[in-house]
Amino acid sequence: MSSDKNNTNQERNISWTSIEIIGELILLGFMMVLIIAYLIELPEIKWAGRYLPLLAITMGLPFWFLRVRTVLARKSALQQGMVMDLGFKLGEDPSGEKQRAILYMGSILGLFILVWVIGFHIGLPAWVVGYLVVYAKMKWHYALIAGIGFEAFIIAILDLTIDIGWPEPLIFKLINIAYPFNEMFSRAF
Amino acid sequence: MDGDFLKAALDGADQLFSVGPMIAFAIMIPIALISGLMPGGGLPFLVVVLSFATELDPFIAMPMVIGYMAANDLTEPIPSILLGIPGARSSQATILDGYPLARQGHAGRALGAAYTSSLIGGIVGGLALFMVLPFARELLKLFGSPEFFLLSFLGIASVGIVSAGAMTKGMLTASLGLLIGMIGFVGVAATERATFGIQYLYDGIHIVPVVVGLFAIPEIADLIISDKPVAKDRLSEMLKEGNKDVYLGMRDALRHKFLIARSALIGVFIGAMPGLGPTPAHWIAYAQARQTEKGARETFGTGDIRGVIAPEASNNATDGGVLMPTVLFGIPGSAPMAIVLGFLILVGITPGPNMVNADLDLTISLVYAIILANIVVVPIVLRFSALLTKVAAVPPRVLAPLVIGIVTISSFQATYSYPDLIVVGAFALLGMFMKAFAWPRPPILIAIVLAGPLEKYLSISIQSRGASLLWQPAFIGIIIFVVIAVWFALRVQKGTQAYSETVEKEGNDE
Repeated sequence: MSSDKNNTNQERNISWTSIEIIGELILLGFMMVLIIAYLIELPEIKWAGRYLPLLAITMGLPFWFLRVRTVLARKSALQQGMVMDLGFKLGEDPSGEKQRAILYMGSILGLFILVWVIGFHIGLPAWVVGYLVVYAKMKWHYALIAGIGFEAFIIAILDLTIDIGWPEPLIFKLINIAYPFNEMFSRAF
Repeated sequence: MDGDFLKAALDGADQLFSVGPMIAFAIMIPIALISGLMPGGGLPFLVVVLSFATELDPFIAMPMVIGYMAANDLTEPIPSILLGIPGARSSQATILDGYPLARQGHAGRALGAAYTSSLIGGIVGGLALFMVLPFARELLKLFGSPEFFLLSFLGIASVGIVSAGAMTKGMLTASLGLLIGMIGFVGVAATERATFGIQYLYDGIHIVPVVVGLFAIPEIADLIISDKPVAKDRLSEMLKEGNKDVYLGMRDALRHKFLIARSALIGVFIGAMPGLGPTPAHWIAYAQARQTEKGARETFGTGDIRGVIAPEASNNATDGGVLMPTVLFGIPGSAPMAIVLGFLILVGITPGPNMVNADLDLTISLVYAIILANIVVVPIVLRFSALLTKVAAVPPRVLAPLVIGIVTISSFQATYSYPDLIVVGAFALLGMFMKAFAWPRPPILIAIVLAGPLEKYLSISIQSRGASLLWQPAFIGIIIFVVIAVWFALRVQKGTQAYSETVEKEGNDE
């Protein structure tokens, strides 16, 4: 990962199993899948809908091949592209940083699954309380206040102001009960 | 200035200074100040503000968003001066003299100078946008669909090209952005493209989950992964000194009015260039002050008040500059501007000629919003900057779940369906990868935002003019202009990067 300390314009060979190489291969592969999908569909589309995909493919393809060549040579030039971006600010504790990165991604995945299974009204405040208590080591009553704050925010903004029609969470579908929060609150303004 | 312009200027004032926008402004200012000071808070909260602003009238929403951004920028000097950590990349140069001043016991003086120069810079930026509008009205009369297509396309390409020596990565992500932006139903051909039979993709990829995934979640990850709380002892020491001698600093700034004017004009000019924005602008302002001010070569970097004034005036003046290409030509020069452009399109406002004709009052209200935000916020931060610094000291692991919770809610605003969360997740992985391995993220976002208008302009151009559009004078003129602008931007970026590295290295050596 890029950091302040390795912010030099060096090129170096990197391992085939590194996240950088695997990630680039996935990214380039995904782009090629999109290009192929467009190329397959284009003959069946009216001309007006073909111009921009052809232009985008023509613009991107030479750079795609250039990048594939760089990846296959396992060259990396980390600093490139950093003027418009900051990179991650890393310190002297790589294992701790790796652990926190995994925990962070896992917790977000957990949040999305929780929301999908039990819905926003219960899932999001429960996740916030859980995160604050378990990871931030906050006292449970403070964490509970944060959770109640989130619930109030969801009700005030999403239910009473915007009046969202919530999709049915998985658990409510399985037990065949209508999501109660759709009926409980309606637009107040 | 013609009668229409004057009428629009009055209408804009009338619309902005009415109850709705003023209430929105009053709610927005504290949010902007607090989120600006939260480490990594500025961009995620901008997404939140935009996602909810789509529910509002454009006359309330747009000034609110621009006011949010202007107020947000004004928080940047606080962590730079008081804590020695950049509030944003565009306040790095402020640290060089601001932090030594704070360590010498002149924190309040440095803040006073920073805010006075920011205030004047912000007003200059707003006025510059205002003064450009009558000329833009005339210029845009020469433009039709072919010219707008070319401007948008070259806008995407130029942001890709100027991605800091990573042209391959920049152009590749710009192309990927276009490919993603074209997914879904295509109006000009009355058919769908690249949906892979997935119903959700029929309406295309919505901008809000993309921004949350690509920018907001990686910024919060930065907080969590580094997990560096601010030292409490340093904070309490700075809290005591943050309000001292503020008026002395204001007087310092007013004594250097020509330096402020020069720096502000640099900010406006650099801000208007695609792909540059406030970061190079504030470094150039710092460099020109170091070169031109008397004795500055010896004193800059050791706590010279002019080293605070120049970057802050320039930094804030870019607000007006970056809005010029965004609202007038539909070319966003930076990631936040791409988000704003996406928002404009989302609420049904088309950047380009409309912004200086039918929607001129709205455009002028943005000028007022920039100036108003500066006038309202500067006294607040001057008075409470030390207190506000406490926000920057909230431990990241406490802050993170609150920010993640709010951005998750805002990402759900796209279609109110669970696949929005899958889009967030996919773009979050992409964003984390891109941030970690130096892939520029703005080109992908700009391309996604511009794919729709680009396709419309291209289709109309080819149908109306065919191949002859290639030798229209305005078309050729734009190509020449963009080539010169990209060449200039590349030179500025190279120079800025080399300069900032040299100055930082000199600072470290000392």
